[in-house]
Amino acid sequence: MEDLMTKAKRAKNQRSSKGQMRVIEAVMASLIVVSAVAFLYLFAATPSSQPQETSELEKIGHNVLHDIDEQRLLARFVYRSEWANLTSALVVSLPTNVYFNLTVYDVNGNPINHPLMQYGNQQVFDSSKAVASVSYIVPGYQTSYSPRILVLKLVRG
Amino acid sequence: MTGEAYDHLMAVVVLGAIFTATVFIVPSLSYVNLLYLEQQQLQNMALSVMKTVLFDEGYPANWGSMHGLNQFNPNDVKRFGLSLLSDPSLYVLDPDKVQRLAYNPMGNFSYSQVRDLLGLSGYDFSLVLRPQFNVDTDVIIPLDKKEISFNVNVTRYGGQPIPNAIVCATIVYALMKVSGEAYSTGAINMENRTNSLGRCMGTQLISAPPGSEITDVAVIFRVTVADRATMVVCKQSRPNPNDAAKISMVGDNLIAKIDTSLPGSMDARWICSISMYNFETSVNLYNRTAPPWGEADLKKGQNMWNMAFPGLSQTEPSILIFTIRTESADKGIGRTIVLLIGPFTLWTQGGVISMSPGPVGSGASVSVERDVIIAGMAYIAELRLWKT
Repeated sequence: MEDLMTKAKRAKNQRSSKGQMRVIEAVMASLIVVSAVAFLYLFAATPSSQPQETSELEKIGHNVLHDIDEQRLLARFVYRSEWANLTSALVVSLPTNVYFNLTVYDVNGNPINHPLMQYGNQQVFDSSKAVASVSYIVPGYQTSYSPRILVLKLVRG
Repeated sequence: MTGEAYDHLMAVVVLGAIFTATVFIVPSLSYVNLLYLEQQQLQNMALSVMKTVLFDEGYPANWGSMHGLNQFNPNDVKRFGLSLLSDPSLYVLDPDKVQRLAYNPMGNFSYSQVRDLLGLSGYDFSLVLRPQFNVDTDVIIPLDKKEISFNVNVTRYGGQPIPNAIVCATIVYALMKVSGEAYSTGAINMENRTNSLGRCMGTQLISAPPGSEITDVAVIFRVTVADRATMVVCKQSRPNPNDAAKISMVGDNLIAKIDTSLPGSMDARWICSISMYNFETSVNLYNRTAPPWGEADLKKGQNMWNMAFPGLSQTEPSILIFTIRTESADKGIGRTIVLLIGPFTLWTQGGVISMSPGPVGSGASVSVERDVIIAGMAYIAELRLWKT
């Protein structure tokens, strides 16, 4: 009789420890799943905002050059070599955290502006991953046809 | 049996806790991505809204001036857009439409009306049209109005000073003969450049001929950088010059409107002269310089005066200078001549026109900036968009 009682108790204890093991298994399984998900997220590539950022900077650059041209100042600045005025106009027109570098080329691709038209350190341009480049053509000034190509590079500081 | 039930209960509790924690942890792990996606959506939305605001003329295409001399009714506008109808160029805005975005004595849009027209349910926005740089002025006009001095500080909105900006100050004054009530106006131009700190100053004496007194002085500033960015600000000796009347321009019509809630608003007023000023040139549009004054233009109890000047809108006047014969602000002095600078909407807010529901929400928001041209002057249009 005693044997039977002892056996029953042992069986009960075994079932009980089986239940505990199931809990531990479930916890471990869950932890494995969570850590796997977390691990994957660590390696998941975050979507890059560079294309959108570059696109927005290009729009800003084109908009500013277009408006200076619209006020009939761009051709005057370029053909009369008023580089300081052109730089100032771009500085006040662009948002405060946008830096630029402008080069003016003739139709053969030779740079015309000798003084560097730049706002912001060269380091900003070198270190930035999103550099936007805008090309804008000025066909001529007053009655003369002599196209100039403006290449405006923009980065956010 | 009890122990087994307890174990299962524990298992349910622990798994529930793990599930709940996971629900919170996993999204936070991908928070950067979610934020990025939300901002990208907002950015696309903001670009689309900005395109509508700047490139669309709206419907009717002349909605800014379609009511003429009548009060503007926003309900008649079926589609919103600020583009200038007659100009094929991009980024050129219609001054008549822009002036409907802020308080205008002839009627204006409310924020919610514009939001509804743009179809922005679930979003809030702020639209600001501001000059390309910041100009702070400190003008000292003494009581006798004879020595005018000013300090001007020109900076970018980030605070960086703008050196070498050309500051052109025009001091306009009204003189009235002590006997006979005849009056005249005068203007003095001063030009200066900002120093390396973006500052400049000036002092000017005004001499009144014997038997005349200076009744009002207004100082109008135009600040130019690289011949391009121009901003005009105005300071005046009279504390609330727009109490005499508020000047609006709708198409080719000039309108002077009186706020009837102000004390003395029922007094008669005579429009003595109107000139259009572009800093290089001044064109007289209307003149009546001496008695007999005849019938008042704004008779007792009348609150609006208007006159059409064909072709006025084509000339895009920067400034309109009115001289008005009205009751003096100082009691017992009788009638005096005061200056009014218009159009009202642009002047009251220092050239900044803003439309927003209040502070920007604390969540993600995006901002889009574009250069625009309004009445020949360069401005920055900034649109900020966020979810409600």
